[in-house]
Amino acid sequence: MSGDSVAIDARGITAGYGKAIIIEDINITIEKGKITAIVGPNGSGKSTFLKTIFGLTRLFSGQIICDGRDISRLPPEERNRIGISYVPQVDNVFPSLTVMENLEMGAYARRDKQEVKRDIEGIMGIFPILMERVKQKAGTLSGGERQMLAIARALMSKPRVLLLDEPVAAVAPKVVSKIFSRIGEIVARGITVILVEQHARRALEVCDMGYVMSSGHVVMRGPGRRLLSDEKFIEAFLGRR
Amino acid sequence: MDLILPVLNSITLGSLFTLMALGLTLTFSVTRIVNFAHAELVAIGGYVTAVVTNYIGLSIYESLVAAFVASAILALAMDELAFKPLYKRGSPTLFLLVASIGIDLVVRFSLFLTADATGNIIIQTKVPIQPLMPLGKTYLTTFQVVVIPLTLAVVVVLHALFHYTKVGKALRAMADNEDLARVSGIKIYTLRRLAWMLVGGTAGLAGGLWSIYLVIDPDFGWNSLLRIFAASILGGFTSFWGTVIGGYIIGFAENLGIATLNTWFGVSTAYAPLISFAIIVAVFLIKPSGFAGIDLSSLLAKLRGLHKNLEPEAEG
Ligand SMILES: Nc1ncnc2c1ncn2[C@@H]1O[C@H](COP(=O)(O)OP(=O)(O)O)[C@@H](O)[C@H]1O
Ligand SMILES: [Mg+2]
Repeated sequence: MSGDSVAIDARGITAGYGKAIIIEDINITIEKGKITAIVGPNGSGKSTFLKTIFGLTRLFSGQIICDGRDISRLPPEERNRIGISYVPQVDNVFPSLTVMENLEMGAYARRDKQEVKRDIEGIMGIFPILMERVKQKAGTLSGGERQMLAIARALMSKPRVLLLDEPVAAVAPKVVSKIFSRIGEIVARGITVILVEQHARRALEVCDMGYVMSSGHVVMRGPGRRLLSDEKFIEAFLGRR
Repeated sequence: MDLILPVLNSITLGSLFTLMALGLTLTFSVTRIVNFAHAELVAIGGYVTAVVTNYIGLSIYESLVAAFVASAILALAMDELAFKPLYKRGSPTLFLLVASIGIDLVVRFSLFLTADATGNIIIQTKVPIQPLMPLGKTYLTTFQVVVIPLTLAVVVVLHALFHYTKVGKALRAMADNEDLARVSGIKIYTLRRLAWMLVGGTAGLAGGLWSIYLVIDPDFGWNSLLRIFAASILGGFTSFWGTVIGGYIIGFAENLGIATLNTWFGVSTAYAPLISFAIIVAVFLIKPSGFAGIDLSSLLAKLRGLHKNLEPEAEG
């Protein structure tokens, strides 16, 4: 794999909280312009891995390489500035700020005021529901609206890489396909996406590469469609159906 | 009972309590620290104002600016030397609270020693308060026409900062969710410094104004702490406007309240500080979220009989 096509390379990551090690020796390579899915059961360490890419956990060992540069010692606010953006699984909007203010905070590090204004309009085009709610506090939004705002907020920094942690958990089924098609549009714009999902089938169907995590380890990897037809994978993670 | 004087005093004291309490609320919102040492930010402001006016001979406005700056620096030092290192180690809220009591003691005793050595245990800023115009049986004073508008100006400026500037909005974002603020690119330690300077500055300004109004001693910040907490707690401890309302309620409760109790029930005015304590207990028992927990729009809708069970998930 040539270095130019790699957006983020996680090498031998062992991380956790305080003294507890939650994920161990994780090697995941994120290719530019692709969707990489990370699936696995609840508690397997998927969210911890994403937090680690952003520097929100304790890194015991390993390196996170972004465009050939080791970013594992950078504070989170600097990782945002080098073009990584993150939608956490929970608490992913500022509840007491309005929808508009949330979007402005997404663009906090940017200096191009005029373009930020235009991008907010552009985002409203992608998520029209937000337009109706601009002055409403984010804490009053429904689950689906909140997820859309969270994604919109993350896009406002004009990221090259977007980390999405279970973007459709606790979202009404009708809205799920809507959000997934938006994710498709995001990738089409050339943004690299890392998609964490507990619902393995849904994620593996849309992704290019898939990683399966279990108890803090990567236990399988491969193109999404291949994993979906892999006997061992079906047996262990999808159940017989 | 003539009402004009106690009402005027209530508004004056309410303004001072509001100025003192806004910083405490801001501290808790942004850093989650229950800061007992806030008392000394007020006290240092009082002493700096008095010393700069009485001994150095600068004008009262220059002295108040000096108080603002001195307390802002003290607040910053408290954080850099004690709170921030503890926070970075992941110390629990209780440790930070106990640390704040320790900081308070250190500053208060240093102040006491300095004041004692220079013969200033008791001091008042020498600015004559003059009657300006008659108001019923009493007078509107030069002090009142400065303190009340000045407090409102600070409130308006802070409100504008929090709602119309990028750093102000970022401060609110940080208060909501610090990790999310960080991943959005907000430099939380820079903003934290700004927050502490605003906290110290407003508290120092309040202390300075207090030192014009009344005689102060090194314990005056500590002795005001219960009221400061009461004002902040009435507002839910994180609400800006809740604290403003809380400050004036404490002002009225301690003046008009005790005057009424005194007139009607013969309660000694010496019990005035107990009112703040009673208010704190009452808020904790009845509505721990203070005014911030009252959903004004649904309350209004209810009053108009239009309440249609709006969004049950909106508030926790
Ligand atoms: N802030 C935290 N402090 C301590 N342990 C945590 C924290 N967050 C998650 N964990 C633990 O880490 C493990 C993995 O959690 P997580 O990464 O959220 O898994 P997933 O996202 O795959 O469901 C769980 O056992 C969870 O209890
Ligand atoms: Mg998770």
